[in-house]
Amino acid sequence: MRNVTIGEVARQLAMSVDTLRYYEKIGLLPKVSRTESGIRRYSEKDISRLKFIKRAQQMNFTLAEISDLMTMRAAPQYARTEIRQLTTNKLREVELRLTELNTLRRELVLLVNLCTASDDSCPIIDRIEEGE
Amino acid sequence: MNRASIGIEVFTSSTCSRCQKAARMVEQLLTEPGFENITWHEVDVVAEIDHAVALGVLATPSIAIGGVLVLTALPSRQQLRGVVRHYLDSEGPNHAQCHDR
Repeated sequence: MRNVTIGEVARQLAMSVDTLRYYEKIGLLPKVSRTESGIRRYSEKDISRLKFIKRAQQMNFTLAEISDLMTMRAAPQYARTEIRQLTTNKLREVELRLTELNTLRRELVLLVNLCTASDDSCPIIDRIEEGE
Repeated sequence: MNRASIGIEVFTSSTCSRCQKAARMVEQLLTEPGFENITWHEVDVVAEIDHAVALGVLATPSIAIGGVLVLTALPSRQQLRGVVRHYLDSEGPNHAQCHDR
């Protein structure tokens, strides 16, 4: 697949070009290849790394933690003990979050189903009003 | 009613037209011979949404026996009788209680 420009990556991943440059500057992303005229060209691998960074950030991981996770991601078999431990801890956090999200999903499905079945009042609104 | 003595829970909502039918069906079944030792309880899903979600209730009416969701729509009388009979055969009438919460 062809390599893409920083603008295309920014659009594709909904990140700013400044953020993309910053990640490269602090070493979170390995140096991106350039054309002869110095224009960055992002490979599939770069984009995969950026997607990972974005997902990890959405889980509220710090950039330092993400950097360690990236090391683990690049060579899991050679990762240091503390990075393996960090990854294990983060896995637990993700699993806990998934459980919470799944509970929330079920609650929302129930509320939407109740609303759909209702002709004159909506339990979603009733519940929001109860909480106020 | 003491929650610890509840055997069957009928999950209902005020906007559901089939819920009262389900509740009456359960009530009627429990007057029949062999089913008298089971108790039942109506649960408003909006008022007790955490409990309903924990059991996996996604729509009303739904019916749980002994804390386990067993029916997720209005059953036929025969279907309801079969499910409750199955529960009694596997657990016995003394176990027709849901977990206290």
